[in-house]
Amino acid sequence: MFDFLQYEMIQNGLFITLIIGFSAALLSPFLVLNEQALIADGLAHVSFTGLALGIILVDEPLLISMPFAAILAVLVKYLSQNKNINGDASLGIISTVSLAVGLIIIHKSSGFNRSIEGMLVGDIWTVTKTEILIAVMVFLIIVTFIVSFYKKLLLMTYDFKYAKFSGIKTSLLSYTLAVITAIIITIGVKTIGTLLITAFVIFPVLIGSRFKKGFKMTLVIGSLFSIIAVFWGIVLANELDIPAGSNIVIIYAIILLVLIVLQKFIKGGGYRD
Amino acid sequence: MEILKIENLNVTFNGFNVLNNISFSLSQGDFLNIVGPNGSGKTTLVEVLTKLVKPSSGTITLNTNEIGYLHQKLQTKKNFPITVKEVILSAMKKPSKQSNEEILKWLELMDIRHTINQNMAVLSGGQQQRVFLIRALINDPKLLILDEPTSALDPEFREGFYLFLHQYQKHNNLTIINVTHDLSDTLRKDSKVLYIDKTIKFFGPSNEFNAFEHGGHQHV
Repeated sequence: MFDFLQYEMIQNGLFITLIIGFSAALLSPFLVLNEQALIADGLAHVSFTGLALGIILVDEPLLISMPFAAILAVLVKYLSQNKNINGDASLGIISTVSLAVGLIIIHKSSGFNRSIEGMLVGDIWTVTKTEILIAVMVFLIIVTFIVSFYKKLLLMTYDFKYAKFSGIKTSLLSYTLAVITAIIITIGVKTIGTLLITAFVIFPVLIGSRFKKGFKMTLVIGSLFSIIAVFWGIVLANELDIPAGSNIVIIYAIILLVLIVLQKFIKGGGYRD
Repeated sequence: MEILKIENLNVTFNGFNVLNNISFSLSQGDFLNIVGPNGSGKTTLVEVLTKLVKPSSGTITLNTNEIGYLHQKLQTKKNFPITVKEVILSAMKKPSKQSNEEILKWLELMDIRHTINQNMAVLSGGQQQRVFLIRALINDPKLLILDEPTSALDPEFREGFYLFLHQYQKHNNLTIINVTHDLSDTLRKDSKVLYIDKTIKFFGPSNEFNAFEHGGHQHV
């Protein structure tokens, strides 16, 4: 079952997906519990266009798509905070307009030799060393950000008004969170694909919170289950000859379903109410 | 010692005057109840004091930075995974190895020691409100600001809540500003009342407020 892991291509794919899964899981509670679950979905659409531009303009598409998504993430935040547009609506406007522009770019570019399907579902087996290096650097930035500002991020997620009263620079932290989310989503779009990367942000907190052990443990449990979902998603995909990204999402969904069923039928244990 | 002085405070939102020419002062150890009809600017006034809202004009002199705050409409969402300990710890300015003991001491005082590791969402409204009161007091403030802390809770809890506050205030010489809809007997004892309806209609001791209420005359 594990023989295929000896190939460098497979090792690279597994490694970068674990990095992306872990990074997204660390951001997951701060986004989903703050009712920003759809931000990952919107930013994935934005990244699609950034990636299309990157593929046309340079050798390493991430160098264009990451700043592109980061700038638009700031725009989404700005619109939702400063104008009279609901946060979800501003995200919807920017993501759909951006996707439309991306599709036009692809349609009009004669030199574009990548299938749209490939960009929608990603490709974890063709990752480059540069992409791995960028993913590791972004992962380290996310870990540093969360460790440094954990208490402030928690307070901001749980009680925004009290966080503002406490003197926390809520705007700056919100913008920073949006930008690093956009960057990890962009890397995820390149590997996991536009359609599936949202699952990496949404599932960890839904799984972690089933244990009802508090915020920190939700973060830890969600991250651990993400690693399990990514690893077994890739291993079983190889065994069953199905797309790895899709299989990871199916594993996430199975874990969540099993926990919900267990919670319904088993009293006690970790499920204390 | 004067802890708060507000002079000619005005707050305007989109061209509408929310607060108009508000001036009053409080001394250390005062218990002030702010009352007034819906939309009278009570919450805006405390949000100016907590720096959540910027005044359009006027001056506010606060002789302390140590402020505790319990804001309106606090309720933990059903699926939000956060423990009682995490809620209190996240507000502590200087968490240390002794923080756990300190939190337990506070929970004991509020008769909810057993909840320390429980999720906030499974606590009753009254228990959650006690946790939020601990959060407001945990950094040992000199001024405590409460915005309708008992509005969604039953009268029995309300009385116990305010009795505790009165005792705590006397023991610690704490200044309290409490926005309320319902000026109960407990709140009328040894307190000041500020009645506003965009502008000050009454400011004075609670025993004089009874006469104001019944006589309908203004005392500013």
